[in-house]
Amino acid sequence: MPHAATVHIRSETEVPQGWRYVIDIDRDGQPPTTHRVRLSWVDHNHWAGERPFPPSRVVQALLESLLDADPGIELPERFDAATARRWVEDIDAHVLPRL
Amino acid sequence: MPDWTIRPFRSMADAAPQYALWLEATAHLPRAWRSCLRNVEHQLAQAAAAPGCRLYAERPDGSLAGYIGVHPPFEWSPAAHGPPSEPLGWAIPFGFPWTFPRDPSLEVVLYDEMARSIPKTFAASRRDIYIQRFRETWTEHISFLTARRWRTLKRLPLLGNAAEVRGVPPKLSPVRMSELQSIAELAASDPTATDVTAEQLRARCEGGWLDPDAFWRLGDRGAFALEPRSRHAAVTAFFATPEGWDDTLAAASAHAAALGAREIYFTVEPHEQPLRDALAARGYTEVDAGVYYARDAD
Repeated sequence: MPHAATVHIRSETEVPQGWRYVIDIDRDGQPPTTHRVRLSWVDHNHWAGERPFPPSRVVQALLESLLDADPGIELPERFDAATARRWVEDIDAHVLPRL
Repeated sequence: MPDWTIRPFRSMADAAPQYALWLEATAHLPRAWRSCLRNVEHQLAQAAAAPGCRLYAERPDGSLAGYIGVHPPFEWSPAAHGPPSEPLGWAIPFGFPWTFPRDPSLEVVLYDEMARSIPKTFAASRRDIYIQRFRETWTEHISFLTARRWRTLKRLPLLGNAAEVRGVPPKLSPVRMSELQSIAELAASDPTATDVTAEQLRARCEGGWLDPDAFWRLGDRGAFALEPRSRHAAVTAFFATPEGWDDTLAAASAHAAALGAREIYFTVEPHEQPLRDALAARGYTEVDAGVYYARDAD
């Protein structure tokens, strides 16, 4: 699925009950931004289910989906992946095809 | 796929790659301490109890891109650790995020991860400040810290001189662990040295702070240990009788030259004024400084 923004995962760190990512986002015509995103085990399971998708793939799909659904979305410097469900109501429908 | 996966200490198998990266990352830094694998392993033994004491950044192929380390808190006492004169409470030695090839963005990731994890790693300990040690000439690394609210805490001059052989090189013999009591007695006879016990010397050797393979004595007149690296050789121990002081210093200088160093230097603590005076009288001048930086703990 095409998307105008580039999502680049710099690092993945295991933290209690999940993972933390440092992610660079490059959108056309805008200065690149860096975000720290937490993905909990339960949210990884919510999106990946029993399929063997690594958590980094899930968080990549999530960020790309957010940016496709709302190209102008202003993402906080730090956020929990679960928050995406509040920003884009049908985010699951965007994420699942990307996995 | 992430560029790097950040993970805590796993086993002593982390020691060798960590030490190799340290040597590469600091190869260009003047008067960077050489350390040794024994010392790295000694320090990692503590990490087994608190794996978060080390964070490693691995590339997708599993190779090491960088690491950062902290050490358990200790009480910073003015008597033992020098200025400032007021107690600073409990200090956590906080390492720099070393990377190779150098990657400023990974430095930030490692630093932030460690800063975030320390309160959990040492949740049961009192912690008041973080401290870190550099050479004053490492300006890029110091800038990294000062941009993050670190401040100068303490400055120790490094007094150096040209490493050179004058006349016939003296005959040296290696210091054996069984001789540490006589080395402690040498220290007691040296008006420029801080008293040290055989047990303290043994602990320094076993912990890799003092390399037993680079610890030499000049008969009964003196003993010294060197840590050569590139064109600089640090004196990590020096004890001599008043009569043998000049000969021992000359022997250390000649040995440093034989090891390929062009400069020999001492780190002088504030309470070591007699040593500073003795070195200055023999042409040693300030070539750099060891600087401690600190910031309030989170």
